Amino acid sequence: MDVWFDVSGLRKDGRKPRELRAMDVKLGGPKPPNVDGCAWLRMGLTSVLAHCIGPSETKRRSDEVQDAARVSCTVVRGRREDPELATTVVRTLETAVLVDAFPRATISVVLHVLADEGSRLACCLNAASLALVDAGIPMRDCLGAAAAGLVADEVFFDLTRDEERRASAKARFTVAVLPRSRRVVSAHLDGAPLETSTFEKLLSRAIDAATLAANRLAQATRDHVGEAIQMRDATAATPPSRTNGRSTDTEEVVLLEKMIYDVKSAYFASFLSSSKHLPTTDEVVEALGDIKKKTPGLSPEDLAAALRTKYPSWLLDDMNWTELAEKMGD
Amino acid sequence: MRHVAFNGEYVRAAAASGVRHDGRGVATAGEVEVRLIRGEGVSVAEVALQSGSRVVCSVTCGLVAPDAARPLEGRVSVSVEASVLATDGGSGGPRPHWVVEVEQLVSRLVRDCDVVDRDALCVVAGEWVWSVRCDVHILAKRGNAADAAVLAAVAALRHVRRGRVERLEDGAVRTRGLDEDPEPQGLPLLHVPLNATLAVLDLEAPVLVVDPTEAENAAALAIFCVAMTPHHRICAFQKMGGAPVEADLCLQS
Repeated sequence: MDVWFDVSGLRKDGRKPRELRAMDVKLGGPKPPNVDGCAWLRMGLTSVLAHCIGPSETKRRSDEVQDAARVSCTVVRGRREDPELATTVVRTLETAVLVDAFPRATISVVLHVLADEGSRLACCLNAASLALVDAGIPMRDCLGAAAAGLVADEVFFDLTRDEERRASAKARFTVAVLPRSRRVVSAHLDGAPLETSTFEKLLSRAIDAATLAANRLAQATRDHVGEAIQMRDATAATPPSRTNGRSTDTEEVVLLEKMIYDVKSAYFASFLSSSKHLPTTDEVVEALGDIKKKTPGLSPEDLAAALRTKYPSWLLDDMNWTELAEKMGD
Repeated sequence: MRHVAFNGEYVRAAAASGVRHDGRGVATAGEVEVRLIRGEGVSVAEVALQSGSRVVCSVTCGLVAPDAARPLEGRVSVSVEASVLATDGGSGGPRPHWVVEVEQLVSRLVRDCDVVDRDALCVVAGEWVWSVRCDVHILAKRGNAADAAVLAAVAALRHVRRGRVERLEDGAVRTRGLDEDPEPQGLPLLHVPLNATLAVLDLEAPVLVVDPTEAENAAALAIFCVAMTPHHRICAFQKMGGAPVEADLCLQS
C-alpha cells in the first residue's frame, strides 16, 4: 500500500489535495500562415499545443451545417491520432462557441499532445479553448476543464499520471464548465462503481476544480493582453529608427501590430469584462437622445434608470461622466 | 440520407405534460426485444428497441498468449461499428462522432470498469489466457442506440459459455467442446451494468426523459448516459455538450 500523504498532509509532488498543478500559458506568438489562433498550455508536466483554423469555408459541401458553424478537431498523440479525445473536444467546444454566428463555416482545432503526465483530456480542452480565444472566436465563456479523482478516499484535484493509475481503481471525473454560470458542458466518469452520495460529492468537487482552472486561464489571458497593449504603446511612442541601417524595422512593427489583439472589437471586450463593456461617450449620448425623444420630460435620475434597463451590458459606473456632461451640454 | 424534420416544440410540450409524444410516461422505457444465440465460445445477442434501433453484439472467447507486460491478465477488446444504413449512407471517411461515443461508452464499461474480471481469465500464467472479443454492430439507429449497444454487449457477455480447459500429457492445452462438457463455464463477470440514456428537453423546468426516441433525441438540449449496477452504484457517466443545472443529476438517481 502506497503512502499518498506525508505527515503534513501533502501529495507526492508537494501539493495539497485541492490544489492544481502549476500552469504555463503561451498565447499567440509565431505560427504557420494558415493558422488563426495558437496556444500552448502546460499543466504540471502535461503539455498540449493547440492551433485553431477558422472560421473558414467548409471544404466539403456535405459537411456543411446550414444554420451553424461546424467544429472539427484532430488530436495528435505521439504518431497517432486519437479520435475518442477529438470527439469529446468537439462536443464540448460546440456548446461553448457561439456557432450560430458563422453559418456553414468550419472552425477546426488541431491539438498536439506533447507530453502526457496525467489529466490529458482536461489539458486538451483548456488548450483548445485558449486557441479559440487567440483566434478571436466568440464564445459563451472561457471554458475551463479539470479532473478530480478519489485517491485513498480523498478527493484530489488535477491528477498526475501516477495518481490517475491509482485513482482508476476508484474513480475519476473530468468536467468542463463555463465558469460564470458554473454550468457543466461535458462530464466523464471513469473507474469503479460509485455510491450515489460519493458520486455527487465527486461531481461537485470536480466542478470546483474546473472553475478554478478556468479562472486561472482567464487571468493568464488578461496578463497576455496587458503585455500586448504595453508593447503596442511602447512601439507607438518610439517610432522605428532607421539609424542602424536595417530596413526591416518597419516590417517588424507591422508584424508586431498584427500579433497584438484588436482590443476595440466587441467580442474582445465582452470576453474580458464578462459580457459587459464600457460604452464610448458618443454611444451614451446617442442612447440618451433616443430615450429623450421617446419619452420627453424625464428627470436625470429617471434617464439613468432607463438607460440601465435598456443596455444592461454597459459598464456605466466606470464612465467618464465629466466628458459626457460636456458633450451633452448640461 | 434520411431527411426528417421533427417538431421539437410539440415533442417538448408533450413531455412537459407528462405524456410523451409516443404515449409513454416520462420515466417509462420502451419495449425491448432481446434474442440470444450460443455456439462454442461464441454468443450473439440481438437487441431491438421500440424506437426502432437494432444492435447485434457477438462475443468470442479463445485461448491466446498473454500480453508480455501483463502475464496474469486476460485480454478484453471492444469494437463498435455502424452499418452503412445506420450512418445515413455515408461510407468512407472517418467514423461519425456518435459511433465513437458509443464505442467510448461500451469499452469504458466493459474494459475500464472491470465488468469482466481479467485476473480470472488467466489459465496458465504467462502462457495461456482467455481473450474476449466483443464486437458490436449497430444495424439501425433510431434514437437511443447507446442503450441498445450496452444492453447487447452485456447480454452477449452473460450468455457466452466456454468449455473447461484441460492440460494434455505433452503439456499442450485443450478446451473441451460444449458437447463433452456437462457444465460449461460462463465468463467471470464482477458486476452487470445497465445503461440509461436521459434526455433533457427543457432547461427552465427540467424534464428528464428516459429512453428517448429519435424525435426526442433531436429536440434534446442535453443528453446524459448513466450506467448503474443493480445495487444502485454508478459505473459510468457521460455527458456531451448541453448546459444543465447540477440538480438534474441528483434527480435521476
